[in-house]
Amino acid sequence: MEEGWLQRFGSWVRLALRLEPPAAPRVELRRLDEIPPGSRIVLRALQGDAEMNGRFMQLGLVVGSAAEVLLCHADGPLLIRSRGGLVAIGRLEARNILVEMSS
Amino acid sequence: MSANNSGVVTIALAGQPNVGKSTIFNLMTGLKQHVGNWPGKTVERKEGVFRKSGREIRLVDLPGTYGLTARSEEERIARDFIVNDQPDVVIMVANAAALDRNLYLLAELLALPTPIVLALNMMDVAAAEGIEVRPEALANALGLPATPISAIRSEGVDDLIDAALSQASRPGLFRPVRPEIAEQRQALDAISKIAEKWTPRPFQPQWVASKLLESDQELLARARSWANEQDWGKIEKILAQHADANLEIVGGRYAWVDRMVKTAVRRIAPDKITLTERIDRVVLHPLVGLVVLFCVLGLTFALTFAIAWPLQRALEFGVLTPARSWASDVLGSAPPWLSHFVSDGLLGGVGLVMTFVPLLLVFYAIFGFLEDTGYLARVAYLTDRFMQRIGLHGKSFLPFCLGFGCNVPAIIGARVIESPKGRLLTILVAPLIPCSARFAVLAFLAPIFFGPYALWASWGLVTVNLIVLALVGMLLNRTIFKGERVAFIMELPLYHAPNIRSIGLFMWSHTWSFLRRASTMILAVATSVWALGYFPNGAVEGSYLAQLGRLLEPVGHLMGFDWRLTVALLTSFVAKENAIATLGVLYQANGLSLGEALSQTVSVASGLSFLLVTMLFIPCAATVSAIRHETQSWAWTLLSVSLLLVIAMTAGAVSYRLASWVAG
Repeated sequence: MEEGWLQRFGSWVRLALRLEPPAAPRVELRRLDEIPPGSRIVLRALQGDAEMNGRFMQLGLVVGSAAEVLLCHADGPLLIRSRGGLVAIGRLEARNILVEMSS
Repeated sequence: MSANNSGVVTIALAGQPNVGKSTIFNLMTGLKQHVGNWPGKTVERKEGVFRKSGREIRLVDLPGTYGLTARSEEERIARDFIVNDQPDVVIMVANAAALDRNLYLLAELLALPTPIVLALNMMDVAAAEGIEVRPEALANALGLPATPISAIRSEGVDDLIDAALSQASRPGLFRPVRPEIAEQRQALDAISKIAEKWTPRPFQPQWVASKLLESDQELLARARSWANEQDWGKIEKILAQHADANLEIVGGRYAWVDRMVKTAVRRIAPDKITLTERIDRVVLHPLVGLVVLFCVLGLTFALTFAIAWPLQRALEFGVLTPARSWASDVLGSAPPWLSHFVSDGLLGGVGLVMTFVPLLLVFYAIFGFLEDTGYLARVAYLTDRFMQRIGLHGKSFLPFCLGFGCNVPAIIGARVIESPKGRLLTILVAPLIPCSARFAVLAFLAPIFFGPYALWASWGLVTVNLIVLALVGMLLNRTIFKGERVAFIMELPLYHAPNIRSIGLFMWSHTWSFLRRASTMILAVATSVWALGYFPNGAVEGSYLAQLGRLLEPVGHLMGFDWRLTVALLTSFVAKENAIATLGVLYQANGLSLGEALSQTVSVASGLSFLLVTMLFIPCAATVSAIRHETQSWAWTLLSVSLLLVIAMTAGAVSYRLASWVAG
């Protein structure tokens, strides 16, 4: 249900009086296979099954870690640099990693 | 501990893949190493004994693993060895250029009570990558010895062993800074409190609790068998409430790793474009990379055949042939079957297979070189997009490459694939890679059957093999292995200078394993086929094998074979080249050479069908034995053999009908 003007006003007052913290800015999460080469990213979520997530994590791909997409050609696997190492990830597997672009 | 019991100090060498662990193992043990398999497993076990400072040291090279959660056979073996065999000390080898990832294994190892010494290998690579590592600072932060070494230059290894011996002699003083994982602390404590009651020694309840929260399937099964129903019910409840504990526990270990690295590692040039990146921009390019790959493979085959082929011929004609006639002479007064057995069965069967050793040596030397530099891993990356279409991924291409030399190492090489499905599928289709022995038969018979068109026919036959391989892969992937996808996630090592010693040992250990197989399985099959081809009357024409050939003649007819071609195909089961030897015995008459006799008696259609069947048929006894060994299953072995049999016979029958129809 859409918020009425009264509720919106109430939220604004609570925010202005610092009765509740401001909502965190929305960050756009993208799938790793959509990221162009040369981009720096931060891993935000692993959505594979337990086995796949386990393999990602073993190679240092844990939530919160920074990485750089080095290669991403057509339908081939991706090459990323993370934690000082190079990791090749199949395109379909890369769809299970949600990332945030970092500056 | 074993040091106290027998005086021998047991050191386990642990580390993630590609950290130079094997180089260190080879440096310490030289040729005094025993290579086998872990009991009941198809993972290589390397062990060696050497002396240092008056102490006898048993060094066990554990499989390369990223962690100690039982996600793969290798990880299960590594941790079972540390937990059950309790080595006196573990040397953990880390790549100094990638400590932020390598120390993760250390975080896992530190959860176990065994003393640890850290070996910081590849310090030079780290320096070249703009990474400064301070070993003392790291040792202080970790509370354990951290020794810088360069395995490739044999530097620092003595200090490393001294540090390990010192740790082994006073295990009570081992007090490292263990990772404290704050996340999931309550759940960890609750489970370990329950597990305390029934966790058997040498397992530790805290460690068991952590592995249960990490969804370690093996530990889950074990704990279920240890716990009573009530306790297990409680644990299941906790696990259900903490389904995502795995992510937090692993994240917690990495946070600890980051803290440790921060104290001892400084990146001098964080944005430096490294040599590895420069090379990868070229060799991993989808088009340029493929051109490079074709050149590398072409060069590999050209070098192998240029160097090894003359050696094979020299061994066959310079050593084997004289040895066979010498054996016949020496055993002249012995019973005829004995002289025949030594000359034809032993030397003609096993001996002929042995002449292919130079081919394997050269092939392994080149592959050892490519692997040691880091290029071979790139091949998996490059070929992944094509391999995915047949239900495999890039890693399967590596054993396929080995298959062009000999199918046996290709089957064994499938061990690089972690998923059981991917490994099995690779093993099932690998025998369709034309091996050097099949190339030899092709090179010998194609000119006889096809005259000036021999080269084109040979190319066509090799292409058919590869197309059939792709089709069979696709078929199996859509039927038996339907719905199971092989995930492609792999580390690409940094490029580095190859180590001659490592390449030499790689070459030697693989060839030795082939020779051992030759002395057992191939010998047994060669003897059986020889006996079938000799008895009851001492000549192949009237032997049981010939009788079998005649019995199978109606089947042979479907493919355009007479009984002799059928028998030649049967004997090729020992080794492919036997087909030529058998044809020589069966067709040579009236002073005609084998070539003349064959071109007069065998039609082009039959010749084409024979070569096609030879190329697609079960490669040889050694390959079948390797399939049985690697799959640990007679059912899969039988499936593989039947599959190849059906494919080869169907292709033979179709090609024979088509060629006969075209020839009018």
